[in-house]
Amino acid sequence: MDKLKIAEFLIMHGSELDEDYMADHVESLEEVSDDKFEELMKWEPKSTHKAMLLTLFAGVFGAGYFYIGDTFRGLWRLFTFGGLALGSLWDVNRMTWKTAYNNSHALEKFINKLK
Amino acid sequence: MEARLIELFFEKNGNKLPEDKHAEIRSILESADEDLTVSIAAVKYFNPSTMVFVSWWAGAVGIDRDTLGQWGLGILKFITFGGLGIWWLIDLINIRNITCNQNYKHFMKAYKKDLKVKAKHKAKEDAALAK
Repeated sequence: MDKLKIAEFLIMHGSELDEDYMADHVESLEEVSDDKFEELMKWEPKSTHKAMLLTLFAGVFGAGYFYIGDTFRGLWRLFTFGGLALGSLWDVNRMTWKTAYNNSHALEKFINKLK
Repeated sequence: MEARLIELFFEKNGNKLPEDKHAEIRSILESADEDLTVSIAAVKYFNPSTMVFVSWWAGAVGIDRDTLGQWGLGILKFITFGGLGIWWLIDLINIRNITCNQNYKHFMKAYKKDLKVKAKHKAKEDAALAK
């Protein structure tokens, strides 16, 4: 794919992705062919805003983790009452990064499928 | 950069960058080549309205500063319990500006890094020509 198309994709979704994986994303997006571009734009990341709000208001029940697709951690939070409440405070700290990390992994899987 | 992409950029990130810097950002974007376009698009811009909620609910222990990447200030805020509530209140009022300025800082960092890489590249080419 040419660089302007990669830039368009990153402008749309870059804020929801992990910065550390950005170089890898650019590399793997370059290998995707141009005619797959419309399919690629259909990909939807999980919103950091929603994940953060869920963590702030229902974090002790693991709502943020269920939303970003980390069911195992979500259940863990649910049954230990948010890791004895302190865990959910830690979650608030890490949730933006966790969402971005999960989105990055999901995107890499999606690109591999497109190839 | 194409006009279409610039409009898309401002539609997505316009509210995440300080309004008084919009003209400067637009002029940088207009002169950007392909490599710079990709590296500007790859910057992570924080959403100010998310940060308002974080600052209100978890600002007293410094998590808002921590999320923005200013972990030194975050720890200081944690130790002093949000500056005994005063710092927390000031940050709560200012958090939109703080987030926008942080985003702008990241934007300029990407721009300056690109300039540096190009200068290095040019120096190498000049040295090769001199030989």
